[in-house]
Amino acid sequence: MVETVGPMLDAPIAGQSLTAELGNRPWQQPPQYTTVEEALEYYIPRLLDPNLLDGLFDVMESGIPLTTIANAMQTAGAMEGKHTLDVGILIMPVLIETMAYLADESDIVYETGSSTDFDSDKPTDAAVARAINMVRKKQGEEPSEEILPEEPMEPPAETEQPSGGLMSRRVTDGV
Amino acid sequence: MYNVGYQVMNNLAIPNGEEPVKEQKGMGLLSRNKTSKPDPKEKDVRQRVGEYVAQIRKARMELKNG
Repeated sequence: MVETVGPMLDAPIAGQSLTAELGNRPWQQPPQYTTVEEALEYYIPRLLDPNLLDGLFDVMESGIPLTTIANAMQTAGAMEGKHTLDVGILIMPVLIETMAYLADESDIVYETGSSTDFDSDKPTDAAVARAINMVRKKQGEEPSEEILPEEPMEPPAETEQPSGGLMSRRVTDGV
Repeated sequence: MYNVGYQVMNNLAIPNGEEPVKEQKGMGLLSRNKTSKPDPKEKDVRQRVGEYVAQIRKARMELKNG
């Protein structure tokens, strides 16, 4: 997955962290789960919950990578004060692997978002879409080359016959 | 923005499936009972996470391969 460097337009406004009293936010309090194991005990049962699993599979099938989903999950957990960001980043691989296991178990097509799982002989979706566009373009150009010349700027007036359809253009004399 | 998950997965240290070879103690009467090396302490967090991932991945591969 290629990441492009761009402007951070979703960054917080300067001084935004000072708009609330210090300690009022959940992430400014001591975390509820301090170790990796405790945080995993919080997340794994939620991942296995059948009510949440259907929604998770829908998100996976929509093409969002597992890395992005796991990142959103752990960021939300840190915002709720469940754990620190450090613990969240540490548990991310386990969350990603667990989601991949659940998806494989249910035959869900997903994208991991990490280059480690890319098959060398399997083209990416972007490459397939690009190839299809090229084929369509070629198919679209070939019949037009047969019917029309490449530079129809000055077609001979003798050979051009006006069509007699109702919606056809009017041919003015002398033009 | 950069994807944290991408970096986390690529920098993950997954242990190999090989277990460490146990040292054989001497069988003689005067041989030491204990090895000179100290017992391994509690593993690093990254090692533990790598082991968890390896366990789940192994189960996933078994599921994929039938």
